[in-house]
Amino acid sequence: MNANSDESPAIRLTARGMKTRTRIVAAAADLMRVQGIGGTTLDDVMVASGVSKSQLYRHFEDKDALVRAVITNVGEFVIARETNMLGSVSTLAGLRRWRDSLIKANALRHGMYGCALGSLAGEVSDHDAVAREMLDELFRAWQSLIDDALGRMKRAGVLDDSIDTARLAVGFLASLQGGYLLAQTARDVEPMAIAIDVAIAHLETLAAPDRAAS
Amino acid sequence: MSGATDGRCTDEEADYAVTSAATGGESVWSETTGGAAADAATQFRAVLDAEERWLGAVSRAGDFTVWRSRVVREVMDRRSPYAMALRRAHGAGRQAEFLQSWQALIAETVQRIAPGRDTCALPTATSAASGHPESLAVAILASLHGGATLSWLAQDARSLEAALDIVLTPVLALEEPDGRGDQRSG
Repeated sequence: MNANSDESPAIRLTARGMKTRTRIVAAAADLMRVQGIGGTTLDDVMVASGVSKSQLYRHFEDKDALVRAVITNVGEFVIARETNMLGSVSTLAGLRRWRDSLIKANALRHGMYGCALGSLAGEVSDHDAVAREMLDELFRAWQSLIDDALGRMKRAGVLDDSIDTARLAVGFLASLQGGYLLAQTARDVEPMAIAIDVAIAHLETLAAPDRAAS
Repeated sequence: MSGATDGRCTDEEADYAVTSAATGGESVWSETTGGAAADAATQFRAVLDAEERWLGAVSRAGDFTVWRSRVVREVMDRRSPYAMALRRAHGAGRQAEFLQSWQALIAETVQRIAPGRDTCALPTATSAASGHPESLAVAILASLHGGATLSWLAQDARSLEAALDIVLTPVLALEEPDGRGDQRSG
């Protein structure tokens, strides 16, 4: 056995508690994805996760606390996915593959649910500054991943030396987020594809001479 | 954070001064068109009415900078129907109609200032359609929405400003003597 066999009952209970907590957050994330934050009640979460009211309130004192846990959960997933997808991008072709995978994943659902993180950003209430700041930090991390990819393209000589990659990363992330939203309302992934393609076309105009096709 | 817009802080005072001069002063939204009290349909109508007027005033490429400054101001103003219309989750059908109308207004404007001309030099097949007014309108509206989200989260207009400046680069390049100009922005 491993070291866990030496743990006290209290710690084992905590581990069980963690499992319950994970189940609650997963159920809440699913519900909020489909029904929105506003359309999801704590009763819904109880039913979907199969936990009792007292269990739910032991982990989350109110809905705001649960929303923040969902933001952390969804944020970890999105940032891990983007780190994986953008981490090796250093060419325009690589950037187009990133674009293709996002479009393809979203097209499977006709763009219906939008970006998991963007949807939360669109719905978090004005008065929840903590949730807003958590989302801000996650989007900055996403922006940094795009900036890093553009920076690698610049160092590889794909992009012109003079361009401000951090600023372009803001543009890319805005196009992507807006694209998700347009696709969601149109129930069609096409506007998202167009928005990202225009951003990539702009980047192509910034390509170092003779490197536009790389 | 990468310091995305650090050091590139737009002079907001100057921007707003230009906008105010162009609009004849501060726009003040009443509770019936802005704020939490107004319903979605009223806010959508207010935004589209305003956009019809302001995009209608764009007669050459450079005028888009005035429109851009005004949109930024509206989106960052919590009382503006723009802020509410962009923030609130709505019934998909009604929101789709709203966004399509807005997109059509932008496309008409791009078309008007650049008749019969693709608005961007496109080196590869990937982006074959990207210079069309319709595509640019989609991209502009997407940048506006995405930029508004980022700016709202950061409580800072710079992301929205950067997003709009970048997406408007090919449009503003029409102002250059050769009609294309230097599209480099970044």
